[in-house]
Amino acid sequence: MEKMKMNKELLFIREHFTTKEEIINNTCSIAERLGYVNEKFKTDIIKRENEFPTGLDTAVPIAMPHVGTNCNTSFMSITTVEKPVNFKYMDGTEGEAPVEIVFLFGIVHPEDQMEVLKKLTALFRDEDRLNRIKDAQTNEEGFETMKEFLGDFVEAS
Amino acid sequence: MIKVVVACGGGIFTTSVVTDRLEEIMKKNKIRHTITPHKITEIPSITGEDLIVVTGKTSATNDEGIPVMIGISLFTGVGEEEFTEEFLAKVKEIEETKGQNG
Repeated sequence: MEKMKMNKELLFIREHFTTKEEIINNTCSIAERLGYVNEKFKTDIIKRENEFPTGLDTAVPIAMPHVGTNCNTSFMSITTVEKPVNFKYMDGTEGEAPVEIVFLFGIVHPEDQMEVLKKLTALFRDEDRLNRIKDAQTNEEGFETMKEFLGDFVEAS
Repeated sequence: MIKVVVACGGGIFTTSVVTDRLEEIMKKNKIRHTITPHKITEIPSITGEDLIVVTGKTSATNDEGIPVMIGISLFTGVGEEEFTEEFLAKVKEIEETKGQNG
């Protein structure tokens, strides 16, 4: 069973992005360089986000763009932003979610990732933990915080 | 036997988590069930099922009149108790209707 990869190079802390497209483009180009995805993955993510948005009204608003296509290995990435970036709401609520943390995933075999997905769901419900990620000042701090939460469920490198 | 469909946009993350939560709820309440994944775009044409739980935005309705519930709260935890109550009430209603029809 393949563990989800959590690579330090895919942690983007306190960035100055202003649109969701910038965030997605940035993450996807690094994921492509690492060989996790091919060049079509980015288009799939953007298409999915436009058709079925992933903004959530959690204690700290998050978005979680994800697909399983054009992806070679399951991975997760995190982007936090200095100023909230708008994503449309997943449940179709009017307006846009002022997102402060973006979790972008590629999930090749969801059945292999159930434990980490459950863990992440618990994280999305946990205001203190979301705040700790949002408030992380450096990549190192963000990475250590995530490692502490996800422990053995990811292959951290 | 209640036949539930879980439908989302991409069909991976939210579907997996919501399916898992529904399994728990129905086991706890001793409800015999099946859960089948579908995509949101397939909602109108789904047949032979009892209830559709959606994890994304939709205003779609089913052509056969299968009820559609928005179950995103099972994912975020916001409003989860209310959803669970509504879901169980709906299941009970469906079981009663089925019982009447033999």
